[in-house]
Amino acid sequence: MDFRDSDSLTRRKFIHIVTSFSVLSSFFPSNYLFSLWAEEKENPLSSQKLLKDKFEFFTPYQATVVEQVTALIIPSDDSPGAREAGVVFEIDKTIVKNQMLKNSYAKGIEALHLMAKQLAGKDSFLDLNQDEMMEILNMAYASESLSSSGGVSNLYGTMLPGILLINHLIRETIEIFYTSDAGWKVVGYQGPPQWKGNLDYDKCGF
Amino acid sequence: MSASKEVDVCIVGSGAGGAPVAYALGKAGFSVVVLEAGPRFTQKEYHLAQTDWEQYPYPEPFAEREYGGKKDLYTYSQPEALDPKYKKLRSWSKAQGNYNNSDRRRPPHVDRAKGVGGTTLHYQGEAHRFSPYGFKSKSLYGVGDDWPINYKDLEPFYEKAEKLLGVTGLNGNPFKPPGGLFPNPPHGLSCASERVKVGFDKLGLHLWPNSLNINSRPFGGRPACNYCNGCFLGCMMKAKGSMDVTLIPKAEATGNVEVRPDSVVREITVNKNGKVDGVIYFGSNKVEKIQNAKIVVVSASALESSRLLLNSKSSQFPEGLANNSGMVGKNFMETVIYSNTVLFAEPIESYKGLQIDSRAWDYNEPRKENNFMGGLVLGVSALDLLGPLSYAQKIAPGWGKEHKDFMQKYFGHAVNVFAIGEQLPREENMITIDQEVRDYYGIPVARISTRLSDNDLEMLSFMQRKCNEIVEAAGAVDMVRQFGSYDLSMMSHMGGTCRMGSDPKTSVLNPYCQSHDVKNLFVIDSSCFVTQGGGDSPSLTIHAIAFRAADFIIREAKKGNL
Repeated sequence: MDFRDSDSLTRRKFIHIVTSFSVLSSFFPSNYLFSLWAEEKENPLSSQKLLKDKFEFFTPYQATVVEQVTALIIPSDDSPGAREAGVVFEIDKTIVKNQMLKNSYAKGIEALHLMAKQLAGKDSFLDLNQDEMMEILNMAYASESLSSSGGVSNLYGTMLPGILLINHLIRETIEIFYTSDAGWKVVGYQGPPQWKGNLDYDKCGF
Repeated sequence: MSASKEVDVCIVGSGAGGAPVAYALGKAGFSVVVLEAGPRFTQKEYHLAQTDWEQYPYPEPFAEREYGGKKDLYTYSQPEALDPKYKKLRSWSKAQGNYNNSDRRRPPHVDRAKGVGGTTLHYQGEAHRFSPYGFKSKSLYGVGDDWPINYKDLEPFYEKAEKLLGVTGLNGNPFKPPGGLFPNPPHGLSCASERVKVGFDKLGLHLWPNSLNINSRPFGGRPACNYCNGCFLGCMMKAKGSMDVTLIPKAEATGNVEVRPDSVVREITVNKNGKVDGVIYFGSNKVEKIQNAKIVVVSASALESSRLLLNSKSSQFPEGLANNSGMVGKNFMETVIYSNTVLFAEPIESYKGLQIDSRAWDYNEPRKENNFMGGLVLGVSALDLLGPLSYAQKIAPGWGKEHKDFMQKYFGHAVNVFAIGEQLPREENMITIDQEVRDYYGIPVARISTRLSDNDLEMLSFMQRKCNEIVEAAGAVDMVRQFGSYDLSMMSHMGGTCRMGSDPKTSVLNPYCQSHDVKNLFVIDSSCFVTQGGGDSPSLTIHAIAFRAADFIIREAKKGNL
């Protein structure tokens, strides 16, 4: 059962989105920064170390951005998070087979880079500090309903692919993490219903 | 169009109604063809052993394949405007907000499966006898209508179905007639039910092991259940006695019954004498075929059976087959349901066990002190919260630390306390044909017109109040979700579109499910229901009615009356 309402954007959320965007974007002349970024996009500036693993689709920069976002969605603490579960590798494997997804990821990551510049004046999404990244994720998450109905496209313009990507990544990361050994270990789940079953179903600890 | 050799009986549908009839008639020596719209599923198509099993929620694997599972094969009249007087009944979750922010009820969503075994492939295995009151609610309480049969008429057939299937249950339920002993012992209560039972006990309610068509010990060549809780996604181990692993194999073993999957019937044909003489159906690759038969039995569900009759027009039956009364499609009854999802502080491992292992029948029979009419049954279930992914997607906060903390703290701690009630029959709730919309085969689809009455809304309010009292008394620490029929529409139990009765002017079928208008036509499924039995699940009653109707067919055919 999935009862979610596709139009479930509350007034509170909407005000939050508009306020966040207006305040942050007012500091940055977007057209100038966008043209600057467009020249750099083949080799985005970042002071962060990039992942060196072999990916089928992602460039090292793209992989590092995606991994960073997934690590915010399911953080690592004293138990594994999305990073330890290797969510970025699973995503890479999935999108390499799908041209539409490839485009969405490429455009979305470009848009995240642009958002970093427009909203925080950083050279790269990876140069944002954790609070700034969280703010972008929060903004994107709150705006999902509006963006899917087309209402946000004028408001956000070139940022829309980034917003859509973040919301896609939230769903993907949760799906991959909680169908992985790492995710199961975190919540104490023993694995698929069959064939072991749950013969201890009536052995209660209370 | 190719025609197959005439058989004695052609049955449309292989679910709760079609399978018992096929078995009984095959055993009696009738030649029988069963035409099933869906495929024959095998264990390989179920996902419960895969690591990503949670990524295949219902309607997988039963999605209707001709549409890629994306399109419902029915339309609906505009849902009713929501009565603001009952706004407290809006469906919501802490994590996702309101499920319906509009001012109208959501369109109907029909829970069903097409395949050999019908919707028993998807059902949760509940095997309930309707209470005696359920057949005489008009006489006893002045509500609904009386059936033309009573509990005693069905009792031997309930017993027959329970014995054949090996139904499990605990004898002595104070709210049910004594009846025969269950052939198999009850399943033990799950930890979740034991925990919630505290609340039922405090309120003086009787949470009771559910009677189930799920093996508690090896029976009928099938193993005992291992409590994976995935019953509604397709039972891989065949512990659930869906028709595909019980009565259909028995029917086929008689040597007289042929089951043809992927066979979609578009019309029942009538000869010049006004009797049915067969069906026209689409086989694989949309090839149209004819199956001639001396008797036709329609067992395709309250939605599809009435659709087929209404689509089978002829000069003798211009308003649809067996519809001289104009009652085909009328008195559609949907499902009135309400549920609370709550968290307990301690682990109750609610994802382990059976889908609905316990029920309370205290309100199964109407009570005079209630301000609504009709009965309902309370229950405890994990429902859709069966693994980490469903928790993460449905009740946990969106993402980040708060999300992960919730998952670590509460996975296995959530349970639903819910109620299902009967919707009293009303002529204006009905199935008609939507001539503008056709399915993959070009057959006009059914159109559902259904609205909740004030009585339904009062019943829902009672359900909410009672579920709230139970979870509070049980000591739940948080309510994370409430949902119900007020603004959503989840139709798992449907009935009443070809009701049985003694008067051909006000009913479609006689007490043996035989058409008043066409002697060799039978409709044997929940279409014949006059009322819904106070919230009980319908499958066992459909089985019992089917065995009774089959006995009648055998008797009457021998006399040459059909």
